[in-house]
Amino acid sequence: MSLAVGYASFDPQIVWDIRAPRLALTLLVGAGLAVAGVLLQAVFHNPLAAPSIIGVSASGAAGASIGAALGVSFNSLLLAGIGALVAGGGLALVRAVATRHGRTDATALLLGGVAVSFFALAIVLIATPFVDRAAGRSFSFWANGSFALATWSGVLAVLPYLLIGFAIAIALVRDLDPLSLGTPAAQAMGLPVGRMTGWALVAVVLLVAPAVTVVGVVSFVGLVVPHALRQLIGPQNTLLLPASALAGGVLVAAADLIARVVLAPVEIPVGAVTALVGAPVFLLLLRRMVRNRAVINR
Amino acid sequence: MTAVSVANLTLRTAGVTRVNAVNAEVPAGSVVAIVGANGSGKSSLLDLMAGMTEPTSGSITLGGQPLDSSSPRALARQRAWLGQTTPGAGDYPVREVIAWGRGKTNDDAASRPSVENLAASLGLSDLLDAPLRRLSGGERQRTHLARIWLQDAPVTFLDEPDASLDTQGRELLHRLIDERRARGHAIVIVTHDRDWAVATADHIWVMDHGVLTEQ
Repeated sequence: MSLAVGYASFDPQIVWDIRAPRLALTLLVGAGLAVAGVLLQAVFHNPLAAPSIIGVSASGAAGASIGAALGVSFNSLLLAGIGALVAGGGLALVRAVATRHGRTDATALLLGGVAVSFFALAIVLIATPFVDRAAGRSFSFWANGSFALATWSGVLAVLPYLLIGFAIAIALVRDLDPLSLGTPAAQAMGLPVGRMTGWALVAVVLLVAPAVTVVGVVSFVGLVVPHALRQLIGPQNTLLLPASALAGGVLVAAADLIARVVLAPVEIPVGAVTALVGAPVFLLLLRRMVRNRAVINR
Repeated sequence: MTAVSVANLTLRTAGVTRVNAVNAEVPAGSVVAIVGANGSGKSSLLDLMAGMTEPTSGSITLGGQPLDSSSPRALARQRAWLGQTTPGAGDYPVREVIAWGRGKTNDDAASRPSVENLAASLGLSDLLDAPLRRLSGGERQRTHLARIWLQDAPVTFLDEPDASLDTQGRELLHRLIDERRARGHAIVIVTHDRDWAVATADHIWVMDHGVLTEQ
């Protein structure tokens, strides 16, 4: 009976206009976040490095809210580009603060990310009241993420950036494993570590910030997915990267489904769902690092 | 033939002169041991010669060419380097870590020893599939030695490679050093093992307060 009712209410137009772009965005955004996490963890030799933790996501939200407050259209290539620029600036700042003589301090990277995130979210708080209210982008939208406003134009706004980001990640992936030896050893073996790190960070910004301008900050995906998969399939990045892309997409799609149905008709922010899973995983990882005294300068 | 030569090599960091106007040559097919007290500038000199640190002034020639650290790949064909400690890579199996040594150097694999042969020469055959983090400090060091020997560069720079090795590990290392020397490779090694240096090295350099006092 219920099946019959469900079938009777099936409207292809709703599926095409609302459900399909929403699903496409969850898959793309999740894949981008997870691949960004793989890249960050490889270049910083740090299992805790993830886009939302080192300030990339929040900086992207700051860029998006400033752009939107200045009247740039939502779901546009331009707003996505502004988000990427501001996120690139935020990431460059965190890296500069945490790096000395080409070596990035793990603790300073995370603390720098916290400071930049707070600063960026303060900008979002200030800019949001100037954003066209009818667009439905609140502070909660930027800070906690939501796919409720997903459209095909949103998909098209992020797709070119994501494709470039994935292409860079694929070009780098074969050489990521030896980076785990730390910068001096990897460089001595012939890897252009500085150039690789630079390109990886460009990819991270392109994989994360444009998506943030469309769906807000979806936190912890870049942390949880590579970590969980490393336990299952091993540390080799050539396998980890595509597997993370797939699993990241599926995880965000599942989180979005949970966000939609668990308190229906109220929809909870998708970032809240991913944070509820991700924050405990982060604490477990942190505990392990402290136990292994792995939070060291390299 | 000269494998490495340095002229007026000086390194100053944070107002301290670590290496002071060093002039020296490493002949091809020779073992040079750098000895001296802690803080005498041994490691700084080694890192400079290997292109791991930019000198404040002076020049370095490697295989007859001025050292160019702007191309890590080209440099890795000319020299291998192993620092005092190598962090990380804990989740990767020994076999894979050793194989990285082959990665970015030359492709003439025929003359190069295999991962298995090198692992056997360093007593690692039974550990090839174990993740690095399960190994003892000495076994990890042997893994990294195998990795840089696989690089098969004409000059190898080693910074106290014997520090965490037991007697057997040292013997295996010394045997590999002799083998490489016999093939015409040069080895520059910082060590506190003066007995071994006196018995084996072709040249002993004594560092004192950044100055090369004896050759």
